[in-house]
Amino acid sequence: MSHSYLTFKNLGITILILFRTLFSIFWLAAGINKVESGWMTSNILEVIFLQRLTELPPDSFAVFYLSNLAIPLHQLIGWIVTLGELYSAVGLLIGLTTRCSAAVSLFIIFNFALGGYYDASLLPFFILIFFFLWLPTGQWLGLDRYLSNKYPNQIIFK
Amino acid sequence: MIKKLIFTIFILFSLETESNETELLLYSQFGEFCTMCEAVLLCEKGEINNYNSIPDEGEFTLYHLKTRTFWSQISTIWEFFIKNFEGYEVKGHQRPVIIISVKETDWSIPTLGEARISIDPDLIFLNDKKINRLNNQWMDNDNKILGFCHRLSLWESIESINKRSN
Repeated sequence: MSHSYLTFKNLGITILILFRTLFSIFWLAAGINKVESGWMTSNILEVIFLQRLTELPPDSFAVFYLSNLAIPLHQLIGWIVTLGELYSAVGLLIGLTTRCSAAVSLFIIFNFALGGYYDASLLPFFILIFFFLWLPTGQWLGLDRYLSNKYPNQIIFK
Repeated sequence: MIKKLIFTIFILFSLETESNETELLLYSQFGEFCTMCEAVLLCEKGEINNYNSIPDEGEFTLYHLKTRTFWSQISTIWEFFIKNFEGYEVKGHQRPVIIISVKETDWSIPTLGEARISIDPDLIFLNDKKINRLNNQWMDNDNKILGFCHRLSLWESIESINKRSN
């Protein structure tokens, strides 16, 4: 009984680490693509937001969000999203500040949804982020395990 | 000063020419027609006419392209991932479409079909018809040109369709 429980637990850990790796590769590709597309150095994000405005129901919250927050602050948002995705990607990939990386991912995806870039494809991301926040995946596989031993008072490595 | 002005005008014209050449029906410069986007197309026989909203009468077909289905939306995770690698872009997708035939002032009962929006070739497949995304030609499945299609103002058109359907 104990043996099968351990096997089942290990299988769950393996699956979650695999998904964490896939998630981080996806995030890394997206972050690099944003750097190459000039999200931090051009007004491309403003043009993207203005295009989205024409596609959304005029009375929706997303239109309010884009008009009053995202468009005026498009340059800052470009930096936050690009660097946030790259940080989360690296953090989740090597298990460094894993929960913090997951929290940054959650922040970015939540803001995507608020800005009208929501669809069912966000659901698997939200579910995975929930697991990365809830469970100590960085302790299972990652630098967090080593760093939390070295710095036991640092909550960021827990 | 005049040289600068001529140079600026030249640059603007070259940019304009480039954007016209790459403009596709149901395509934004940032990618394919988005998952949660909708569009209303009016297709009619004959020459090109310019419409912004649904005319009160005439003989034409309306295609209301709806948002992608739940699982089709989930599949965009793969599409978004793969488009980061050159040469591996997904070549199209399917979504539901409502088709309404209008004759004079009579509207047919809306029928549900499936639209396939393709980027290679640049076509929109709609049951027994298709639309060339480059020149907006409306064709049958034997590539016989029937007429032209126009993208209408979305929210105004949806409101008109809803009023007629209720």
